[in-house]
Amino acid sequence: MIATILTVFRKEFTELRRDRKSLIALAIIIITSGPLMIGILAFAAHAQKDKLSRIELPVVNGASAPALLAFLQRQGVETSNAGADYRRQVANGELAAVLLIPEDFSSQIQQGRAAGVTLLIDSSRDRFNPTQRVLQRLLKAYGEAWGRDRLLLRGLAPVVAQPLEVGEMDLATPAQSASSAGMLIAFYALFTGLMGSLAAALELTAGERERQSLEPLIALPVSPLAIAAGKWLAASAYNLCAVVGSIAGYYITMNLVPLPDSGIAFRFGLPEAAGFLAVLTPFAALVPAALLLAGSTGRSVKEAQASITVLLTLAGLMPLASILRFAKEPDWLVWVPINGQYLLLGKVLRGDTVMGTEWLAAWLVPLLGSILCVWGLSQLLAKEKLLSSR
Amino acid sequence: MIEVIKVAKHFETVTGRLRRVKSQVEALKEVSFTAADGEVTGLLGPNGAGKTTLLRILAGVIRADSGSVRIDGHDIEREGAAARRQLGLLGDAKGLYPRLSARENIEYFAKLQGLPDQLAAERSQQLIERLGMSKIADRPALGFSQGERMKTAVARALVHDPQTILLDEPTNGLDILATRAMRGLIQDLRQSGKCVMFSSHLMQEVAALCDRILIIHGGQVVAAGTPSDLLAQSGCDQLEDAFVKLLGTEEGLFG
Repeated sequence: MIATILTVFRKEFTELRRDRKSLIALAIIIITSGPLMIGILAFAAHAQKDKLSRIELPVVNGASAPALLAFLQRQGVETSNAGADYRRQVANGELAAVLLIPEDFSSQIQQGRAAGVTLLIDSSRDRFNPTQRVLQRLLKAYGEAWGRDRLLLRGLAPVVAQPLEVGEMDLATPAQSASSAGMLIAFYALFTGLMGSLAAALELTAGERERQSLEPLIALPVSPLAIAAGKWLAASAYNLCAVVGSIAGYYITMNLVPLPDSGIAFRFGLPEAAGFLAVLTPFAALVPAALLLAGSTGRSVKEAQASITVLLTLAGLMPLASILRFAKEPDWLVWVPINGQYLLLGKVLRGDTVMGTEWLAAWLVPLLGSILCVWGLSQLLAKEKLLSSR
Repeated sequence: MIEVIKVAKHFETVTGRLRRVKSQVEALKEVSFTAADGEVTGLLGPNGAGKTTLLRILAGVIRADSGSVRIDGHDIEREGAAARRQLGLLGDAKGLYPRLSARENIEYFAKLQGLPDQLAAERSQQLIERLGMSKIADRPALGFSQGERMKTAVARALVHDPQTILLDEPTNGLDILATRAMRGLIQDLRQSGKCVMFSSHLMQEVAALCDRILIIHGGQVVAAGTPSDLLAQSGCDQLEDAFVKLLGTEEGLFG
């Protein structure tokens, strides 16, 4: 039995290795899902950081409030006079915000009334939201400082007007905040594990059937289970190469390529790479098992593609549940394939400790799933109905 | 040696996209015969007569509904592995692995038959020489001609030196030279005491090679015997005429 499994494994792996087109496709998947993605992420974060360090604010009627402008300039905001069509520019997304100061600003102040200024923004422009938040915070701070000064002048403690002090304490460590960007990397690492063996699974099941080489194979005195196991090992080895390749890609990009400073303390060192490998190795074996099973339900590659597409679409939707989560993940989620892996990859990236039961889930579920799928594959391989028929 | 006793097989066909209508097709109706060692048995019949189905059941690729098949005394159902070890099958499906060379294709089957690596390599080499495949032996099967593919598939079927050999239309699509070489091989196998059973459409081929002929039509054996038996049974001079007469209808050829 074991000799047969190894014979099938060696032969299938040799054939997969010699398939140039699939190898090129695999290389593209590895490169796009790894280095390219991290590169784009780093450049995007860098651009965002750059945007916040230089905030431009056109002002209407700035001459009425010289002290406010001086305050904003001290805080690093570059103020300028707004052009005539500032409304259109904000609406079109050309400007992040425009500050409108009323003509009667100074007279209102002199009469001791509250002076209204307006920050004109278009909140639907997501890319300006951080800039808009910074400006709102600065204006509010200016008003509060002013109010405190007035109270002090009247001999009152500023705390009288501020009975409730709202402080903010962000529990996310720098590593944790960086990991929200890292979750994208986790998603793409899973993606490689999902797609790496797709071509191989089709080739080993429906391809074999379509080429009419399955019938002579099952006429041999070998058990279909041994054939199924050998095929699964070959597809898993192939998939594991893809996963290792993409993890190596992350490591090399994060540690050896000079990326622009993104301002997020994001690390993908050897411990993270090892954690990824430990989570994704069993997963890299489960996916081909499921794909082989789906692939063997069809009489031709085309039929098999239909089942595999359904399987992959469902698999692709699962991490969405975690990305769009509204509550903290329940503990049992770690036992769900794909979502469990996604959760653990996130933990590895955040530097959280992965517990013993979580490791157990990460290995036991794929192992049992693989055994079940390989058994199912052995049943389908020799099924009369699915034998090649011309 | 092949012993077949009352083997029957039906298939279900399903038609219709929304309302699935099932219907049954009787592929074989209680077929019985014996094919002896040291003889070539020809399986003759019009298209759709059940030849390929019968050969698939003999090889254990599909299961009969009823009846029994014994290969060299081993029941194909109960002692599947032992029976299959005695069998060499060149079935209807003759697909090769395109990215393996002819030699690798042959050795893969040798190893799956349980031959040790050394013996697998030796047997493959012997067959490569015997079938005149030395030039193509180490080329990938992807670009093979019909004849080269057929030779590789034959070598693959014979690599474990089986006692019983099933060949489904082994000369189909071959040119004259390759056909002659195949006939030579079948005669050699007979001389070395093997039990060879092959199916064919070609009357001359069957007449030239077969010790015994089995004519099947509509899933039944309609006649069996030596070529001269069949001529005597039908009262014809030519085997082709005898074949048509024994089928009972000229349309049967296209039935």
